[in-house]
Amino acid sequence: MESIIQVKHLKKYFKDVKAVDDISFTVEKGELFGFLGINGAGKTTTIQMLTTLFPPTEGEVSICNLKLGKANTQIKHHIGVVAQNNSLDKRLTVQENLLLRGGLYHHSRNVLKENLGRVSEILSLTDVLKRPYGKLSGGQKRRAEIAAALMHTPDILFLDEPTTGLDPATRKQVWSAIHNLQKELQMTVFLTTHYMEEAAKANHIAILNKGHLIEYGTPFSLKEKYAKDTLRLIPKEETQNALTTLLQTANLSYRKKENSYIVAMDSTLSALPVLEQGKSLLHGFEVIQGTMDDVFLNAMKGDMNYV
Amino acid sequence: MSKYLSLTKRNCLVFLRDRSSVFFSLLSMLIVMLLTTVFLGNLNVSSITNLLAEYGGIRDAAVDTANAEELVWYWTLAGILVVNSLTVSLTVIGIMITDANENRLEVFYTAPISKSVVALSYVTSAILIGTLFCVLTLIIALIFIAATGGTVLSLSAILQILFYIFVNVCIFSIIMYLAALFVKSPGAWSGVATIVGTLVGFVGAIYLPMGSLPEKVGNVLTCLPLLHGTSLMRKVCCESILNKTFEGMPPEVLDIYKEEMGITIVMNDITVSSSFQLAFMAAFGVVAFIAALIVAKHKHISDR
Repeated sequence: MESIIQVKHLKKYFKDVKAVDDISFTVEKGELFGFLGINGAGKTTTIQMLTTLFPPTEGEVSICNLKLGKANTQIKHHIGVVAQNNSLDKRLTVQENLLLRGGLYHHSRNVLKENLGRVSEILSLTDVLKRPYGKLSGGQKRRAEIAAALMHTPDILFLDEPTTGLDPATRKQVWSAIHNLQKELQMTVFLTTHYMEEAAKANHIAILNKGHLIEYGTPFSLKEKYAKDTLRLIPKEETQNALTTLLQTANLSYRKKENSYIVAMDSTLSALPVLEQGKSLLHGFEVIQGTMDDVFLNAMKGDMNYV
Repeated sequence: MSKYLSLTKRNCLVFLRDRSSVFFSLLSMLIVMLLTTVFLGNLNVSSITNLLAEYGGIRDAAVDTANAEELVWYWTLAGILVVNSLTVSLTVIGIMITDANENRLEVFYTAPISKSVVALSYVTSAILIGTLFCVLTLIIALIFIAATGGTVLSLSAILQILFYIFVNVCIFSIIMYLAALFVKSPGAWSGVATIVGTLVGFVGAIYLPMGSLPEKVGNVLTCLPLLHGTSLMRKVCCESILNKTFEGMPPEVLDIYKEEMGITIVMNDITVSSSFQLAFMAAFGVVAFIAALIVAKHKHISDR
């Protein structure tokens, strides 16, 4: 895979605050890249540097093979940015907003009209084009924001917390829009979020904490590393001791929680032999898969121990 | 170029669609008009008729009163045109502050458009909207004056007024842009608007004629562009009706009256010429422009 964004030793210091402290990563062309971190981790600062808003204190960035800081104007043509807060004008119609935003990139009225049609179709905004932006629902607003960032057909779309503050149904809508973009237009999507289950949909994830990059990988590899599956065993009342013996002889680490045993598993499948052996002792069982929340929390915990 | 036009159009639309901000930008004008109708007008009219009665010998009082009323309305119109050029451009420039606060500026800056073009688009839209509103005010006022039996200004006077409107709006837009660079929140800007709206009537010597102000205050006002803008406007608006009203009067009376009412401005005991006033205002505009360039250059996006 060809890499479209390369970040090397990127730093941004504000006086004595190290907002971003020496991070390096690459984003591959056409992938969905998830940038995670708690509030204040440096996600927005990184995005602002990558989107040419202010120069890094140190470090090298290339976007579409263009050097950041040397070819900013060209870079701007390749990127579309959706900021954290809605930024379209609420008293103008969606169409006016989109045409004006597109007008900052293109001169030709025809190209703009064409892009307007295309973009509003992808994000299903055709019905609301004539309505004032301020009258739209939260999800429509967000989609209109994304549409505005797509009016110049960028190669990379930066989304800063695209779904924060939206209800679950609307979040799903926005996500299906993002997926469409990535699938149909082969667009590279760089997004920040703090919804972990959303991050699981990314091709690669980078986790940022206090300006440091603490993890980088695919959601799968990070889950492997940080979020072990667990097996919850509920013994019959009279067989508790027998189950303890069984777990001890099988050399499995476990802890007791109320009247059940929580057993750490290397993989989901390794639960099978345990279940087979203890079938007669059990009242019930549950295999709990590791979640992205676990990945995030464990990675953060690791970082804290490290620091 | 088309990016610049696109942004300018956007700023104008954003302002015009917000009915309440349009209304409040015209509030100072409405206050001036209200005050004139309620009592300022009568005061000014009687000061003219008294002057005429005192120095003019036997005259037709009814004609004098009618002339005086017309003179006062033209005098007020000149004031209103300047008030509007200031308050409207102030409100339009306010869009920039709102944009900065709602992170819209950042979105503009991620587009391939230079910061100076963005800045210029705000100033341009302030100039366009300011001029538009002043011209509308002028048209309505002329229709009103004609309908109430007054004489409408000559074409050359109207053209001159249009030119002064444009000059005033340009200079005030630049000054307001400079002021806006120092203000960080829309709340603070509406505070500025309140102060400007209150002071504009005094600084332009509209609520109180120059003659009624203490000398020191008057001296300070002559150093500000607003008074000169008003004076230029009054000279053109009132010229023909002044001559008509003061027909047969000693020229000294007219000169004193003009000075009293802030139609002509005296600096260092010399009545300054229109071209000096224009140059003075232009100089103010240029200084403000250069200052704005310097301030804007050092202002960073993260300084909010």
